[in-house]
Amino acid sequence: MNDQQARSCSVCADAAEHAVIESIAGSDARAVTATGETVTIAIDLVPDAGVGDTVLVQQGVAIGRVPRREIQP
Amino acid sequence: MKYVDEFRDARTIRRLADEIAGLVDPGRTYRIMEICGGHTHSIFRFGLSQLLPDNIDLIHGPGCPVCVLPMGRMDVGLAMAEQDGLIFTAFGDMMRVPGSTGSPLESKARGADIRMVYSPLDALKIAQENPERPVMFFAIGFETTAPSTAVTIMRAKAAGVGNFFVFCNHILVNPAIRALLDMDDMRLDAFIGPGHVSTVIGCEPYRFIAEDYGRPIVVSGFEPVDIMQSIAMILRQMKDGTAKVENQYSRALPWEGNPAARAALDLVFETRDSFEWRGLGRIPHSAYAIREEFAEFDAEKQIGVHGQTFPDPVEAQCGDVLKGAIKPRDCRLFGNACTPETPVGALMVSSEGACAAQYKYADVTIGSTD
Ligand code: SF4
Repeated sequence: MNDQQARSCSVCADAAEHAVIESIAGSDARAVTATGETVTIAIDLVPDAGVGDTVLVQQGVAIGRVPRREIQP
Repeated sequence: MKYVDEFRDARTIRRLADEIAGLVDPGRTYRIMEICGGHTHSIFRFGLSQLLPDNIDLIHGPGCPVCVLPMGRMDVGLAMAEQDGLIFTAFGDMMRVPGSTGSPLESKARGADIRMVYSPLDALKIAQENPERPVMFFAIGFETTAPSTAVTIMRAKAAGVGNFFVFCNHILVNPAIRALLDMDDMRLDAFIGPGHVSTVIGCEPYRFIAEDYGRPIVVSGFEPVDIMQSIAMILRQMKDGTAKVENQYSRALPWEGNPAARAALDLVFETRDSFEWRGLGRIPHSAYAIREEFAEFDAEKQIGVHGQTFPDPVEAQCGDVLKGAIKPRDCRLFGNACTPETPVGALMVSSEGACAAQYKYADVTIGSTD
């Protein structure tokens, strides 16, 4: 369990994690979280996000693009 | 993790504490509500209240969706779970939330097929892998979690999945704030706004708080430096006699939020006329229902519910805690009948619940940055 998960509740908004997109395949992407974990995320809701962008991921779905690079894996 | 360290720096926190002390008027009190459960958790975890002058009272708001869900809704969900052949899916944090006949985990022990999922998309996958069985997802959360449910329903429709159902308990943050501001016995001077909800809805929708009610709101990040800085920003507004919406979390939060996520919410959901909140009663237009166009996925329409629903236990004072009328430790059940091991109310279950946070971090040292 990483620090983020230790303090968060998956129902609550604050479980959302930042992740950097590494590759895109259709509506899904592979992204790396702050702890270096690679996850598959749905990117239906961030149509202008590309490889290298940071997104906020809530329950496997990117819900927003993050203006500044928030994390440094 | 450079940014996390930067936003937990003890010296910066103490400098902000000094700044806050210099901004307060000793002749008055300040009641500042943090709306989001994530902020509540950080405040307890890092002992931030103890760094503030005595005349600043942080009121823990109704920002934990599990905590404000009335027991009756849990009962409805669990009644669905006990239907023959149905697979009930929910987030891990829901598993110990008590309904009147026990929690999802206890239903599982009685033989119901209860499965924990990380994402509603996982629940959809279970439905696709079990086409002969109905699969229900217990959807809950504010505007941050509702988009993932919306995407899942859109994908289910596109794939023509006929055995996937969503029990929709998504709620909206602003109607709850308005309801609190309209309560006669409730004095709130300012708000710390929810950082992640705003990623979706943006900062504009909070304008009514400043313009109609004259209260400052600062949308905040979740680290101790973020929260202390937001409190200083609120106090600066109050000192200047202004009330506006400010974005402390601009490093991660665009002012306009995410229009694509809002479009998905509009496509899939409509607002209910009213919805029951634990402790706050029925609040108009405060929750989502699934639109008619997606009714085939609406568990409330497609799955009959047998069984009774019950109101919250009378001795529990969850409502008073949620309204900020009492502190968690002042509830008559806190720490005796109600503990994280034997929760009576949901505020003791979720890590974002004010009671669980106060219980867990009762001995936290002042300004801890661990
Ligand atoms: S201690 Fe338990 S019963 Fe009392 S308010 Fe907290 S969760 Fe509710």
